[in-house]
Amino acid sequence: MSDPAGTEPEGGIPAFLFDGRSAERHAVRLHLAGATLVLEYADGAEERVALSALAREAAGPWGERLVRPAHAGWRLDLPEGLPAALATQLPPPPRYGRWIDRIGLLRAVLACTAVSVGLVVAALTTPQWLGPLVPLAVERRIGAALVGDLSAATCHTPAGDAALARLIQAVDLPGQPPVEAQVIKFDMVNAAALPGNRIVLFSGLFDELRSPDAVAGVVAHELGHVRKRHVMQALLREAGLSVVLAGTSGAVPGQIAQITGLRYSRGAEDEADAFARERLAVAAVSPLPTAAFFTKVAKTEPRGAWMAMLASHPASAARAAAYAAAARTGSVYRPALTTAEWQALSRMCDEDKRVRPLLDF
Amino acid sequence: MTEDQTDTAFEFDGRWQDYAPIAFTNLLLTIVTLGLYRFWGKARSRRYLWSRTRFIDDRLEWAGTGLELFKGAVMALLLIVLPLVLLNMLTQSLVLQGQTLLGGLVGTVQLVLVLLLIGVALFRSLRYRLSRTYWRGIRGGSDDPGLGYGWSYLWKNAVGYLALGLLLPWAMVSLWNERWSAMSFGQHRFSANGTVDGLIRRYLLCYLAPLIGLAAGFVLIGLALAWGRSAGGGLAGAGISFALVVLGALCFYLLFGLVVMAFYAKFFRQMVDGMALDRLTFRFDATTRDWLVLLLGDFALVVVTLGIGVIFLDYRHWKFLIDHLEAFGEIDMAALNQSTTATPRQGEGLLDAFDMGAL
Repeated sequence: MSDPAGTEPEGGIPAFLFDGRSAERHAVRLHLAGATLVLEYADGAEERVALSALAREAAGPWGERLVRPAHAGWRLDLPEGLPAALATQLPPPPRYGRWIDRIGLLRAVLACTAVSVGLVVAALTTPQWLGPLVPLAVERRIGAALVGDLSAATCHTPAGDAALARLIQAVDLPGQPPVEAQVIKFDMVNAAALPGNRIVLFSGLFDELRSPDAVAGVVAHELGHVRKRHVMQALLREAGLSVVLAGTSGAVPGQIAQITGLRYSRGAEDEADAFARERLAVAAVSPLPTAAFFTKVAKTEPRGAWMAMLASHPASAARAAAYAAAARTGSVYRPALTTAEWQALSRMCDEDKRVRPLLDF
Repeated sequence: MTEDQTDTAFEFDGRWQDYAPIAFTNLLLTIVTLGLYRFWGKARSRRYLWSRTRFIDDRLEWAGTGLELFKGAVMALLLIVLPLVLLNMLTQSLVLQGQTLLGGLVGTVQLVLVLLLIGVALFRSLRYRLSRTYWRGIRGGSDDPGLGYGWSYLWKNAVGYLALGLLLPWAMVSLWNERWSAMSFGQHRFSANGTVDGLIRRYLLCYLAPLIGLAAGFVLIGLALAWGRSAGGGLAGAGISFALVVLGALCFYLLFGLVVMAFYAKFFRQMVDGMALDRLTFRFDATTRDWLVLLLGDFALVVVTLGIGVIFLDYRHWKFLIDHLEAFGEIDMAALNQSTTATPRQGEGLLDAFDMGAL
């Protein structure tokens, strides 16, 4: 009894109505009167609904379905289908979503792909130019919020502080905003650049390096991160990626973010190393002790090209070679610190009785 | 109109072949929108599942939209996740600055807040789903915003765990009853009177399984070592001992999973059996074996399809739920009136935020 011709069957189109007020099902017959749908109840009563107030829903085993978006629960099922005269006056039922239906699935997929790729690329590249534009005061505040001032774990002696200041001054770029350097009591062979022009050296470094020139190399490397604004770039990138990928909130994008983050880190590390070698040369400090340190680290590292891809730092053997190659025969090198200064700096954490090791509970 | 004449009140008549185009286009659109489409995808998927679910003589209708799910997720992100992340950063920075006590305090407040919010999220997602579920033009819902349930969730779980975990079945039962008793369909309130009776034996099995397993493990390791020695030591002996230990660990995990499933299957049956709506009563008849088949099927589907099968899990779980759900009694259709409960404006963002949207 479907109606391809679009004419109404004798006595109207049969339909079932739920009015959204009670669970009762009403058998009604429908008549089309211009832009109005007339519902005729079994007892002869009539109800008129403007077609503009109606919307189609997806067809199914119940036949065709009309609803009134403004009346939740109101529903008209047409088991014998929708007459063409009615179908042509109503927009088609929604399928994927309003605007996707309008432009078509394929075009929507292409458009979304383009926008998504653009967003990810923007999130990856923006920090590189935006990072250096962030005022230092803002970066300092972020740093304070993230890690605090670490003052309880910072070692101080007058002579040690003076030696550290002289070391920084020797390898830093002249005429730049000041850098705040701290030696933290913590048994770890590492150093880090923190947001807001800060450098921290962990006391374990001095037990391992045993040479002011190697410490100068490490300090120059961290200064490279500070002066090239790598820290802000990394913060922005992480924040940007997490916003762009927030919709996914699954494990896989997290890994993607990590891998791209590491790759970025590699570029930054290379840049900081180049900065360090240049500053060591200007300060007439030999790069060989730094090279020796990396040679030593390289022996404990797993080998293989794939490890280098995964690591955030370049392979230590390659770094050792680069620092060694930076040594010029014929150059006159002098120690980065005097013996007295080195003693004061490297023993600062042992001599400062007030300091508490980091994460000491 | 009275009770149904067919043999089951609930019936699911969907076909995975019909669901597949929905699932695959949802996946595609979710990928190209960096995940944004999943809210609309979820609404599409539910519209299909609900519409293929018959209760007595009419099908369910899902009236929720992707937009309201999206709004809910954004609200949860701004009002809940962001403050929690900031609180977490505060804890870390306090600990780094040596303010361990204060850091611990803030951390504790954070934990309490998270537990409270998980409770609220569980309540509100049920309320949202009922408010968007129509049957014969009538919907469900609740006027309770769920904060009270959040506190109950917090203290009942705390008591459950503090009593060495022995009161957890009580906490689960009592929370289920509290949650459902606050819900309604049409003008009728659900009543939920699930009991703990008969759950304790299976719970004790779960409770003791790790201990029994540990003891069995020691015996097995002892046996393995003895065997290794009698086999003359050497590589072959060590290999056999190692294989035995691995086998033992595997058996332990499978058995532990099984006893937990046995408890949960009975818990779910007992909770649904304790529920009523006006003159309707409900029953759920999935046995431990049914749950096992469902989960093994899920696992096989996902593994065989290299992960793509995940998009069919919602379908499988919904079908499982409806296949095993049964209702008895009668409804007076003319007297079943529209719910007057408030309709929440956004979806289950909070639950989403805690990643607990599963069945």
